Amino acid sequence: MPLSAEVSLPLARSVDYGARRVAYSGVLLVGAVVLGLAESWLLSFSPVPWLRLGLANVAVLVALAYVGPRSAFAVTSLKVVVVGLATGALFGPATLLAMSGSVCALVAMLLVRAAGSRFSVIGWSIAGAAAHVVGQFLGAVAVTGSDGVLSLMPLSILASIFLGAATGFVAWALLSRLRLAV
Amino acid sequence: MTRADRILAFGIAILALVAVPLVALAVGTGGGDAVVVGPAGRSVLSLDADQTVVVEGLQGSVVVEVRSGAVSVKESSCPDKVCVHSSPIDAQGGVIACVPNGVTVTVGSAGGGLDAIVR
Repeated sequence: MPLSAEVSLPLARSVDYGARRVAYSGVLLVGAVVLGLAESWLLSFSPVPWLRLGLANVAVLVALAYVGPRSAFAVTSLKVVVVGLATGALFGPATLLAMSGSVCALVAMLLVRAAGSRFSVIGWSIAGAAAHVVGQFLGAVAVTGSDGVLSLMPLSILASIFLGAATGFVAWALLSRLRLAV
Repeated sequence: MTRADRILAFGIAILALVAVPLVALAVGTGGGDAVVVGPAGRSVLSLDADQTVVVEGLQGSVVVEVRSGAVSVKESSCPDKVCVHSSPIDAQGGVIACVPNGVTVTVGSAGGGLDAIVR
C-alpha cells in the first residue's frame, strides 16, 4: 500500500515548518499564561507586591531561543491579552502597564540577542527584566499623570537584575533539556 | 552565565544606582505637604493636621488618611491593594501609587521637574 510509506515517515518531517512553529508558539503561550496566572495568584500572598519573579518570561525566552522573534512577540502579547481576560483587567490600566512592560522587555531581549552568542539566555532575561520595569514605570506615569512613582524605579531595577537572572536560569535549565526540532 | 551577562548585569546595576539621587532630585521628594494626584485633579494635604480624604479614582474611591504626620491609603477599590499595603510616608518623602485608580500620593516639594518632559 502506498499509504504505509507515508505513515512511516517521522512526524517531524511530515509536518511542515510553519505549522510546527505555530504549534510550539501555542504550547509556549499556554505555558506563559499558566505561569502568569499562577504568579498573580501567588502575588496576593507576597509581602512586597511590587516585586514579581516574571516566570512567564521563561516561555518568551524559550520562544525567542527556539522559534524566533515573531513567535516571542506572539507569546508575550497574547499572554497579556489572555491573562487580562482571565483576571478581568483587560483594557484597564493593569493591562496597559503589562503591555508597555512586555513590549519594552521584548525589544531589550531582541537587542541583546542580536549582539550574538556572547550573551546567554540569562543575559537576555536580565535585560528583559530591567526593561520591563522601565516600561511599566513609564506606563504608570502615563496612567497616573504624575512622575512621583519614578522615585521607586531605581530600586525596582536593582531587584529586577536578580529576578531576571533567576528566570533566565530557569529558561537556561529548560532549554538545555529540551530537544525541539524547529 | 557568560562574562558578557555579568558585565550587562553590572552595567544595569551601576545605572540604577546613579539614577537614585538623580530621580530623587528630579521628583523632589521629602519635606512639605502630601500631594494627591488623581483623575479628578490635584490636592494638597498638610501633614500637620490629621484628616481623611476620599479621592475619586478611575475605578472607584480611594481613602487617603493623614495621621501623626504620615500619610497612607486606608481603602481603595482596586483589585490588588498594593497602595493599601504600602507603608505610610512622612516628611522624609516617598510615594504611594494606586495605578488601577490612577491616584498617587507623594510627599515633597510640589511639582517635579520631569512633568514637563514626560507629558
